[in-house]
Amino acid sequence: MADPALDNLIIAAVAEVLETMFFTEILQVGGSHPSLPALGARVAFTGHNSGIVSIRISEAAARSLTASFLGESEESLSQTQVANLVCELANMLCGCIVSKMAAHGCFTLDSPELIDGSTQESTERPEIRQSFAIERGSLTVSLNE
Amino acid sequence: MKELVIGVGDGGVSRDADAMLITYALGSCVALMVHDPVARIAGMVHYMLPESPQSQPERDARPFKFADTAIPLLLRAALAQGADRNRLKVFAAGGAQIMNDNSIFNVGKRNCLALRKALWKFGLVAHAEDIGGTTVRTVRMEVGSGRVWLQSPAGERWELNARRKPVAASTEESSWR
Amino acid sequence: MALNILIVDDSPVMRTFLRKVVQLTGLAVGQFSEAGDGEAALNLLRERWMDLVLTDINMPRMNGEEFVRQLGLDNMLRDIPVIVVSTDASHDRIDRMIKLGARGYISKPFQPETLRDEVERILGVCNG
Repeated sequence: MADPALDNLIIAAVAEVLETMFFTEILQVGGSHPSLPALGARVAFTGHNSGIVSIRISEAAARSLTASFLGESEESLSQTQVANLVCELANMLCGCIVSKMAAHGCFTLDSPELIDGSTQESTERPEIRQSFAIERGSLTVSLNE
Repeated sequence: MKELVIGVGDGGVSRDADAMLITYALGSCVALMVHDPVARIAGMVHYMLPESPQSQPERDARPFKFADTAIPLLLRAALAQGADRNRLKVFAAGGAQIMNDNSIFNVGKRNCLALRKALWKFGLVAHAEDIGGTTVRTVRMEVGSGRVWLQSPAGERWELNARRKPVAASTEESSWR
Repeated sequence: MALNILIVDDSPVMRTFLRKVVQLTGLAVGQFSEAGDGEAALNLLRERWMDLVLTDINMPRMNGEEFVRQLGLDNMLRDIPVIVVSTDASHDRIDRMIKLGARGYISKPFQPETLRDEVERILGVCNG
């Protein structure tokens, strides 16, 4: 089910999160899913409406984002920090997307959980999915309502 | 007042309190300026692009041309001259969106993001900035006072004011008097 | 006087980020403490004095809303300034947190200087 409004909302959320907290931007909207190795995380939300936001991101891109976020060099980062960052990125994107969906509704976000980044498809078919080319790789954001 | 001109893709630090650092016609380029009000040291860089090329010789030849090499270099130079990181006031100008003949990339915006990224690596953010938009800017910094002045091609001048008083600077001022 | 600051967030990378933002202020920080949820934060607060608390909302065990409510019920802790830093930007939530006693609210994503200014505003008021 294609909904251009929701698509644009995801694009706006990704742009906002990348620019304000990671000092980088979307290089291109669309494109392929993250190639392996990749990491994934998802956050469930309940409230005005309920659902799951999940992300998949190439490992190199995740590492580069972690370095920008923490202001550290990539070599000094641990795998745990990169995994933490992917969870936090999912959390921020989910928060940003649901606030844009309903500014007045109150949502509760579950804690983010890591998912297998190598599987391309989740079992449920996502209603909305958008991929982005970003520095050092790609990012896919899915929204299941 | 003596004028020390910083060229395009160049940078420098001065301790001459009677001098003024100046760089002309920033379009999508960004000028980053730092000032230590106690040591009275000022530094300025005029970089052109967000990222340095992979090739080492190219990067080494023009380190002030790229944000990711220019900003650390300027900060290290200022500290080497005796500036204190905690007293450092940081200013930025430029990064305008300039309509190039066929460029679809907004170099100005990318230069501004690269600025924030490189400063954050040093645990810094700009105290004041005049970035983006479509104006071409000429910028001057007085080495002695650290005051920053901008000028448009039409000759209009305005001062770049810190949105906030740095905590460290305000306490120093009061104990000074 | 150096200030003790408590950062409450279940994400370790976010705690590091917040610590870095506080360091932007140029305020003298005596000790940074960190907790991964509200319950751990309350335990820390009962052990040592804190001058400022930054807290997330969505956390396991005890969330930020319950944590701030508990602070308000404790005579020893109710005056410690709290800034909420959360992905939740809904007006309802912000209203509720402010009513519970939070002094500031920053929604993620935010630019580092936004939180820096908020910390300075709130500590300025407290010290002034």
